[in-house]
Amino acid sequence: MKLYATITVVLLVLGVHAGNGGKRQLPALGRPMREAFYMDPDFVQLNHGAYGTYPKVVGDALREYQQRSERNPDLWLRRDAKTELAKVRQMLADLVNADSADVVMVPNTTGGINAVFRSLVFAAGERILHLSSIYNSMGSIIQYLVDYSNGSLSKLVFDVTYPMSNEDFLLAFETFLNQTEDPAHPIRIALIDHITSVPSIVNPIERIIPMLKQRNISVLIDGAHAIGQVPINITALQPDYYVTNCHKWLYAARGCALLYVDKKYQGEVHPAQINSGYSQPANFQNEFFWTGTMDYSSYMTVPTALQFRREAGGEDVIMKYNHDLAYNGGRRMAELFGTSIMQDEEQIGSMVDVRLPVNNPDDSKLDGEWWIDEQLYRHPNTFSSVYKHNGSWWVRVSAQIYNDLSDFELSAQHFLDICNELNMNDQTTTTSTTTTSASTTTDNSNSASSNVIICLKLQFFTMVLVLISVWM
Amino acid sequence: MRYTIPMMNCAIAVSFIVICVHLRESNEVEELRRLPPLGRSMRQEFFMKDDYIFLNHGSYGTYPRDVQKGLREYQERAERDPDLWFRKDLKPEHTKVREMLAEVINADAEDLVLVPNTTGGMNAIFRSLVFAAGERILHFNTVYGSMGSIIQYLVDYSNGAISKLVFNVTYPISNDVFLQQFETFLNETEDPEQPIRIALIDHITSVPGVVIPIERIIPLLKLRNITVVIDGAHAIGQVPIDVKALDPDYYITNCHKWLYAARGSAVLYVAKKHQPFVHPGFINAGYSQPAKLQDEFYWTGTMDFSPYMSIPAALQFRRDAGGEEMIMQYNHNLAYFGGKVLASAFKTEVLQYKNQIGSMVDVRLPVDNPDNPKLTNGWWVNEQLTKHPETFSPAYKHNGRWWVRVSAQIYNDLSDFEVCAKHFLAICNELNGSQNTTTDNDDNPNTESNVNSFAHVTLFKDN
Repeated sequence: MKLYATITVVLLVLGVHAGNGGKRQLPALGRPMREAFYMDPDFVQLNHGAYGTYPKVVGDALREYQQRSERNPDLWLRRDAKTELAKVRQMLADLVNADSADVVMVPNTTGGINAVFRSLVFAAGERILHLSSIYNSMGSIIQYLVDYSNGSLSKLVFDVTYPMSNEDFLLAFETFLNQTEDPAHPIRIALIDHITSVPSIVNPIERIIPMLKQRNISVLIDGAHAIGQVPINITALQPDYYVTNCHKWLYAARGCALLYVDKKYQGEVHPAQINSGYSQPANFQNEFFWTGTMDYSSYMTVPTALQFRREAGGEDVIMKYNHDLAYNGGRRMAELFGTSIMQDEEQIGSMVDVRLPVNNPDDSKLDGEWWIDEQLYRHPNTFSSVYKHNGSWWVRVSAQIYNDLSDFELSAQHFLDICNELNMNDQTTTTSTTTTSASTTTDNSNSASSNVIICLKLQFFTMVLVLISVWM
Repeated sequence: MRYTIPMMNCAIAVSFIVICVHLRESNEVEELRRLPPLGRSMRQEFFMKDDYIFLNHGSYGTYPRDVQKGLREYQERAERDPDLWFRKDLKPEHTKVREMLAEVINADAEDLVLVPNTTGGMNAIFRSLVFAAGERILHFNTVYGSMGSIIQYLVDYSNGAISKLVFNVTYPISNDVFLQQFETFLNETEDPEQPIRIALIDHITSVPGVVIPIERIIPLLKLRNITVVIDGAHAIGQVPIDVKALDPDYYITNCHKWLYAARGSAVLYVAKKHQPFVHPGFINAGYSQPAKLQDEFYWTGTMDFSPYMSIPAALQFRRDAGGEEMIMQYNHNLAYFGGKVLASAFKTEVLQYKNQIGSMVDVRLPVDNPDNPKLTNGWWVNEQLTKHPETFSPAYKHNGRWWVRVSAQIYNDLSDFEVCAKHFLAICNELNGSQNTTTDNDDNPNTESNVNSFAHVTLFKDN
């Protein structure tokens, strides 16, 4: 039995070698790229921004590292993990143009921001500044600090309402800073999103940061959405703190995030999970390396994710594809809805927000959960985050390398169905019958790559048959 | 041409299948899946390398194939439709896991939350406390490193308002003597100006791996109005836990250690009266005043929930392997007898009394000069990983002497402890620069007779 298995495996190996000439080729950007990911074939993923997802090669790397740690846990966790983690930090530091000594891995942005905020020692009267568009958990962290400060701390919120151009935002923000200046209540620290979550706006932080630092305000950038969606240059931006999720737009496995802390603050920053790396003053790398036993495999998927992105065309190609698709896709949806998109083009990374054609936005049954249930249970072919802003309902659609324009048209149809039912309106929009023909996506699947895929599938199928028979 | 070889392989594989099916039918192979008996043969259910003797389950745990299968299924499920998983399907499954754990440790499911590890749970407890000036935090000198750091952190940032009080315990010591000493200590250090606010006690200390009689300590402390936190990191899966009977204020334990769940998964119990004040280390959108335990801890940022989801598979595996009692008894007996094998080979002693042993045993290492300055914990780690990689157990200093803590598991048997003995004798002999070489049974009558007598002891039941 074993002899047969061996012979078959040997033939298989030769077959693999002859079959595809050794070099792996990714499918082209767009619909064909779906094969490289795990999503259900009949589901159109247009919500990458919420939880991210990762390609199959990253899933393979995740499993490999998980397996490796079980083969010899002590060797992995006491020795090898540290070396490999240092390599991961170096790769990410290069990507964001920072020193690897100034970055640490954290499980997610929530953890990184907790570390920064809960390490601050405030003086009485100080204020914490943030925008009204702050992500809900980060708002909670600030509220928590205020609540437990016995009245000595307060927060200062700058209200933002979109649509609004970046120029207008900067003018309004500067005015606000001037008007709220108060020596008795200095603003100690400001939390600003690099890319807001809802609405999804790319903020001009390269101009906001200097404005704040001039006023001696520490700057914490919540870049949860940033890495992999827009270029990040820490050395140029010079924030005091920066946090970003690798498991969102960078295709690493969940949870995996990066925290940057300016050298001058490192002595004071402790993780949310204090551990035996604690010291006074803090030694940055020691404090954050081991925050309790965990599975480091998600951090270890970063190199594979970066390699995948290089093979898919590289950071610039990916970002441009996603940006153009988000912009064009959003405008197409707005056209089909008869509404508009929220952003100026420069405010768009890979996400676009489109106003939904809801006749009565103040309908009392409409809340976040309603839109979630409608989509997940009654129109499950796709899903995008829906939220209320400035009196209207908006949908935030994410563009990714596995999407193309027809996905946006499908999303439009999906929301038109929901909204029409909601509006209980008889008039059928003319666009609801003409969806696919306007697709501008070229059929990028060339014969070479599909041949390779067929070859690989045959190999895989054969391998499975062999394994089944050996187990029997 | 491209497809020829793969097609050929296909054809061979198909004929292979046909042959196998024929043979299978003719053999009438038993369909029901059975786990191997406890002991060496159980190794095949786990992933450790063939030539590696794993005797350090206590540090990071490990999990069997069944659990990995569960882990991967959930990981893939999350990628097929992340929104459906995270927004809808996760919550009921998360609740089921808490309910299962609630049964295992006899608590109410609504008083339990899942956290990534004990360090996280402990930070949640301690960093949520609001102290009054002068209060003290009590712990043993054997507190786990990171937990000691959390307490130190609180003291450092209190501007002198709070301080810690450390009870020194030195092993070997019996539970009765230990309890006497502890009670005396509590009486002697009583100070109304500096009340002890809270005490952190291990259920099973890490190093040394000692089972503490917390069912007697908790009442001692509560009588004095001291809040009790039990660090049960090692406990679940190693010893029975009855939260309702023990009635601590807080209890935390790692499922990824002795319960065979995937890393990181732990469970935190908070007595109802403290729940309005407890917030997680990662404050998140579930924050409120007063706190609602389930809302505060459910979503501490985007993460992979699959390790939590691997807990049911771990519990099922343990049932298939013979059940909690059988596993705990096997491990306990093996640790106990294995410790004797080591002590005999080293000509030293075991640290614990029998009722202080769960599944770990600590044995004094035959080191001639314990104060040798090159000896650090790290030195022992390095020696083993680089020069004697066939097995690994953590060595540490306690009460001026070097000890090794060895873990017993259902994939171990006594011969593994013999390998461990040889391993440390080799290291210690090199260290001591002594000429004593032999560790062979032939030359050491004590070891031989011990091994022979243990061979007659039935450590597991045949299926």
